[in-house]
Amino acid sequence: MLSDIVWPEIWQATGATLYMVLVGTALSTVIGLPIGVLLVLFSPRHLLANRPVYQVLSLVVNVLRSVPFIILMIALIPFTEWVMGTSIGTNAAIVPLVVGAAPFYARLAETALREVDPGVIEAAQAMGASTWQIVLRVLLPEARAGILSGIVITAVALVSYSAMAGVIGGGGLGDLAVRYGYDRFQTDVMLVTIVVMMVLVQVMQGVGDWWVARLSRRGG
Amino acid sequence: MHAIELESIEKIYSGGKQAVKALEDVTLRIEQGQFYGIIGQSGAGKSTLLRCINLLERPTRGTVTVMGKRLTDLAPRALQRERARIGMIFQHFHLLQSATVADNVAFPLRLAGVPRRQAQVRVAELLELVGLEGHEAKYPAQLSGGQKQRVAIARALANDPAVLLCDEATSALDPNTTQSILDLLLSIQARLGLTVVMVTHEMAVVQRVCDRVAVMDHGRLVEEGPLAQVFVSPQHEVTRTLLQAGDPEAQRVRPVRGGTVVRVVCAGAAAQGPFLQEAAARTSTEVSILHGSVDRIKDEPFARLTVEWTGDPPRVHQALNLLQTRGCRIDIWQEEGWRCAL
Repeated sequence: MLSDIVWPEIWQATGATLYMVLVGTALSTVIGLPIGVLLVLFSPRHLLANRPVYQVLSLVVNVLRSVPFIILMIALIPFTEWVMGTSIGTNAAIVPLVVGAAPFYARLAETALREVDPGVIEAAQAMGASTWQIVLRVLLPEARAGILSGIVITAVALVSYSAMAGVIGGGGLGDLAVRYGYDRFQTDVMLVTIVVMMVLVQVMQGVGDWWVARLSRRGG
Repeated sequence: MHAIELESIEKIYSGGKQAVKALEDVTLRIEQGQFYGIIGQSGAGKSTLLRCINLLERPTRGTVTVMGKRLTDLAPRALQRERARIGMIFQHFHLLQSATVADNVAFPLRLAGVPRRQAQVRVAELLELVGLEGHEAKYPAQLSGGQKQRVAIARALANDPAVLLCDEATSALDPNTTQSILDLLLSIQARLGLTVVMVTHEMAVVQRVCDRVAVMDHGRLVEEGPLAQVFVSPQHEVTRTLLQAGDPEAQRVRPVRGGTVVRVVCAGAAAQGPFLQEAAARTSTEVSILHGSVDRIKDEPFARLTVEWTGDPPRVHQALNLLQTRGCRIDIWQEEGWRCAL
């Protein structure tokens, strides 16, 4: 065992997974956070309370979240082709990853932002803050620990999402595990990829927890 | 010019199944430089009224004018500018948990676009004013309740407001801290010539700091006047209840020597000197104190005494008359309760 493992391929697959997870997490955050902010602002009794807008936004997020990723990925092939010019490869895999993870992150961000003490928002209003100023200077800084821990959760979820990217030729550890471990009955390759993924998740979670704790100690 | 003018304010909440009338036809004028108290039991609408002053709560009807500007007519952006000139502090402080003391105080300055350097200087001034030098880098979680309120006061004063609104600002603090915060507010008010409006359910707080007081009940303004007047001769049942809340023992006093039990309340000059003994001596009657105290309202002495008067009834009556001419409020206790005056 372990003698005929193709290590270069494993490192390359690890690189592809990391790439998909990091870029996917970054884009999901950039897209999901504003959606999370809007979900909070439009919700009842909040700064921009607007029932119809909130319900439409909420519905879109729920629909995207209810589609299993493997199906979303295939369903999005035309869209991916339109955006990236191709529907095959690691970069192309990032499109469905983001479409799947951004709404997920939006909900996590929404939950974190909702934890902000309404009294503090009110105090900012009393000081003459505009809605935009409240978002930038109150909501986001006050919720930063929750926002960050949401990013970590999303990144960990993307490790498992990205494992399915092999279906559209995205590469990565999941793809390797299927091709060697399943198709060629090389259980050792399967085990190694699983261990690598476990280490990835552990490291991300560990760094994230440390960072969140650091922010929380300051009361954020 | 009045600092604050509230004209026929009405506030109706129509959220749920039933509309709730939180404020009904409240008209109130507060002069500049006054320490003004709004008191009432919980749910009386006093906080809602306070929040109408900076339109955190928009009245359903009526107009709000602060420092000559009619806020109810302003567009959102103009209202934001005016709000920056109205400081506000809260029961639970409402500080940014993720920001240091210095950043919390600098917050309204940043909102107003004050350059960083200039803001730093101002923050140092303000922290000195509230006695928090050396705490700049701490986070709110590391401060005591009193210190948090001091940070909130510094923050509220950052933009040189003409008006400071206090929403139950001492209700979450212990008695000693309450004292020190009230002292701080008094000294700041005197130094800066601020108009302070303070909502509280504690008579003791109003008693210490306010020049005038308004009493709220069920969304209405039921009584308003200079502190001494309201404390000595409360007109409304709610005011009396609030005044007695701090002194339940006063209700249980009964005659000991078969005399007339009388409650004497007076403030200012009327409460100075041996006025009870004088009245007794001049009418050859005797007086003994059963219960009560002489303390202060704001800067004046304030006496609230329950005494038993013994002697020839017409002479006792004469003694009480003397006290009344002096400016004391006299209530006589009878089986069915206190009877007003003579």
